[in-house]
Amino acid sequence: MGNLFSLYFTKRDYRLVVLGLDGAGKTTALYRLHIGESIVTVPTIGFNVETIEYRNIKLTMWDVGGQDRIRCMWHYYFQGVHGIVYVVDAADRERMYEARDELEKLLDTPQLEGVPLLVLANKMDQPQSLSVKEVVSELGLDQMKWGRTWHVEGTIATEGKGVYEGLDWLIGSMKR
Amino acid sequence: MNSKKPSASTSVDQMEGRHRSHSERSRISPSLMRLRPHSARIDYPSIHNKPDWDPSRGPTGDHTISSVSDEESDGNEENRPQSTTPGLERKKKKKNLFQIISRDKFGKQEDKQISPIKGIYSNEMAKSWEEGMTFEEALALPDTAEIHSGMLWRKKKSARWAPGRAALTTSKMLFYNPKKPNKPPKSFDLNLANCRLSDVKESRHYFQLYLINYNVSFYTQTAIQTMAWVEAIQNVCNRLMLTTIEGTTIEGSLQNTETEEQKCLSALRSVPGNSLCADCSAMDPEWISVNLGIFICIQCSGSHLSKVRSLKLDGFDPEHVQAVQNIGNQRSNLKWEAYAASHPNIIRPNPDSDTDTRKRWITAKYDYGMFVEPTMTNAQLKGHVINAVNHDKEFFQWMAQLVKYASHTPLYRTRSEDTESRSAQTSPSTTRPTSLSQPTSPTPHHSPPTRPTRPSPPRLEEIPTKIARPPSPLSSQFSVRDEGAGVVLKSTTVDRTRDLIGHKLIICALLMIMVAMMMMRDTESSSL
Repeated sequence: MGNLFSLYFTKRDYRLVVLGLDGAGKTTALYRLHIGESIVTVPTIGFNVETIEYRNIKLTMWDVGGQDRIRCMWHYYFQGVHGIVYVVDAADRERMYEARDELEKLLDTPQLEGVPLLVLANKMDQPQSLSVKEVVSELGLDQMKWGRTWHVEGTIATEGKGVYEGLDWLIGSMKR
Repeated sequence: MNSKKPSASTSVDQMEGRHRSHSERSRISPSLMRLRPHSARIDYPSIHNKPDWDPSRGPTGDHTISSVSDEESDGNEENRPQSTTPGLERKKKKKNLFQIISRDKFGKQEDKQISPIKGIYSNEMAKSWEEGMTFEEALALPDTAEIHSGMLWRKKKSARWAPGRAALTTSKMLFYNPKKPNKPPKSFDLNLANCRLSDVKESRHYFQLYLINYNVSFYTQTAIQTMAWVEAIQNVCNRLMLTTIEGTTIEGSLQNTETEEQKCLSALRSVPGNSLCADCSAMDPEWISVNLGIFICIQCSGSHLSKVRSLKLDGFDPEHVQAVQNIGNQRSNLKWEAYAASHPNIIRPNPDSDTDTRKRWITAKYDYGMFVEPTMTNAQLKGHVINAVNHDKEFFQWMAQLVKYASHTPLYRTRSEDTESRSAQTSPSTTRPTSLSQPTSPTPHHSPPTRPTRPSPPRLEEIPTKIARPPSPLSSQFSVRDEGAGVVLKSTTVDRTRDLIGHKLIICALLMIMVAMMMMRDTESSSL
């Protein structure tokens, strides 16, 4: 009976990895979830890691720097990952193709096969930002052949809008 | 053949069994012999030298010893100080790290488990770190040298807390199990790892080590120790991280070659003015704002809303180089800081400034263009400032904090009316920055926090003990964030209760099924 209780009442542990191009808002989103405030961040060289307790679940989120040259370090963090959070700067139309390239490279890795993907289309408060539909087509998610569930959520990480909704979806799909 | 084989095997078994029994006999013989007092005396003549050993009570003493289990009796033998050689004694001491072996008046041994913190390791606890050794010096030590060591509790997989001595080397964290000193220590590879303080409960100061695959929790009993551990581990991790980044960029030969653009930009950095950060004058800035065409340091780059790239870690387009070539730090500052002297309230950051000062300066300088020539403000910056007003809500939040900090209720109303009227204006570009720095009426109730730097706190008697949040339009505008958080909180609690109810339902259903199955079995057996 004790085992049963511990099975049902202990907090489950999930490992998430937060990726994206530089300046997309990965660290801001992470600390928005962690401390519930927007902080002034500095470009991440290396990574940040925080544990977030949310809805009776423990999430260990690894936020890895997105500068061009440290993107080759992303694959170190793929071991045993339950979910991917990919942050895109929806206001930066010029670099959408770059984000798409990186995402395709990412999803081709065998370690991440079948892992649910949450795309946060960040900076939706900017006037020039793309809509969620446009982000889906720009990233080529609608033509995706891989057998994985994905979801795009429009967010404003500095205000915390949409971040929790996206996380809710991710938790739901990881539980399955 | 077949018939022979088993017999042969049985004979071997018998042989083995005989051997085993013989060896067993030889192994247990001392304790067996100790059952007989006289033979014991022959084996251990030194017993008589013991001052507290009463020969008349010998048999009873022997009896108590014989009742002790085999392992303990081994311990007995080794712990007789007279019977063992000094070397063996030292070994034994090493083995029983946290045990004090005392002998009661009947000669019986008692193992006392003492708190490890008071044990042998407490002397070692304040080792290298407190001896005034800097981290740089410690890193120069060989790889196996301990940078930091001390007593820690580690959470095992079985969710129990195990005490032990931990040591930090330049690449690993080692955890020694005091109960098994002969075993090699458990080592955690700190490459690509990180460390965070987690929480404090009942004088336990927890910290967590994030490894690539899993997390490990530790705790110490004082905050100082935990802080020292976290600091030391983070230092090691950062070092390892930098070497890994260098290693990966060198491995990727394609990426290692410096592009033409990067070469140009590094050459441009040596131009006078560009060798210092455009905002805080830090040496050798390595980040570039490509649309402003300036060199900035990493600390300032975080506060910029412009497009920031790293000189070393990012790729560049030719037009970026063009921008930096055309503008540069000197020319940019001539434009953006032309009237900085007229705003003494906004402090120019220096390399050691905190993020708040930087943010304030950079927002005022670039996003609001407060230090730009006034003629320019009207004509050229209008669009820019309108844009900034549209999508920089942080400034509003910051202003709200200032207002909250400096004054109380009546001020909110005046400020809110003020902003309302201002927002109604078609050209907020000129009015807003100027109104920020305007000196305001010195009436006590309207003491204004209009200075963007943190104003001197109002007189004590004016500060209400509890600042009530006024129901003004301004406050409602600024409390959007709080409300949002409240909503989220509510939804999570609802979800949690739903989850719990779900679990209870599942357990109930399982119990029902079990009961039903048992009843079914009963009915089956009765029918049979």
